[in-house]
Amino acid sequence: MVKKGQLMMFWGSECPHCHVMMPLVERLEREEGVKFEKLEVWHNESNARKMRAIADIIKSACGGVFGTPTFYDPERAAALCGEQPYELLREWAFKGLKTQSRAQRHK
Amino acid sequence: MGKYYFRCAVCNDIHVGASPPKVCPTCGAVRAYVRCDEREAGVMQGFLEKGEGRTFSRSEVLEALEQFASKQEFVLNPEKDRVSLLVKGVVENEKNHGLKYCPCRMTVGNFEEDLLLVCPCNFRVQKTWREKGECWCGLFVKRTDA
Repeated sequence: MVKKGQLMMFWGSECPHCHVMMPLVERLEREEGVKFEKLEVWHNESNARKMRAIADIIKSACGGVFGTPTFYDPERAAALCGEQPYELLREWAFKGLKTQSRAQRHK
Repeated sequence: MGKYYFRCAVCNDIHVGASPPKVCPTCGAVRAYVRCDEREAGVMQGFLEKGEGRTFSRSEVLEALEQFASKQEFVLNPEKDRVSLLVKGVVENEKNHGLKYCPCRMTVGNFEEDLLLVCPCNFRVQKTWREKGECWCGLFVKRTDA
């Protein structure tokens, strides 16, 4: 099942969009300290099952497409799909972090 | 004269013959047939299981895609590395998962629904086709010299 608290990236080894996004994800991790759990889905059935478990959320957020790459924030049940500019990915990732910070402050 | 398998990329109708019909008799799509291998035809029609039947090599898949894209309003993406990676992906997916599923999407585990992911798919209905002029994975792009 999907764990809460860590951003996820569902990707495919032979997906060109994923190859474009991977360096951007690594840059975000390096520059901002954000961490993504990277789950390859075409060669790992366990990862594929994790992605299928949230298929409805992904399809709803991604115009009906259940594809790769998909970025997923379990805290917000929010998804971002496809090739995206670095700034948009960064903004999306930080929305989740802000939510988590607020939640921690109210504990 | 040899007989080959062809699949309508719009409705997955299978045709067996020397060449495909110009108009699909099932859905009416024009120039929508792509040459496919025995496994794809057999699994679609229900006379083969996913692990059975002859499958295409990468070069045969590429040749079928090139033929499919000729005389259309789209072409194969001129980025050869991208096309090569996608062809590798569909061949891997057929070997590991039974059909040439798009490497940029994911199966849901429902046979009928997953048939919509077999490459080439009915990409003209996709938002990326309407807005960016390319299919979701970027294998096909709209012709710019039309």
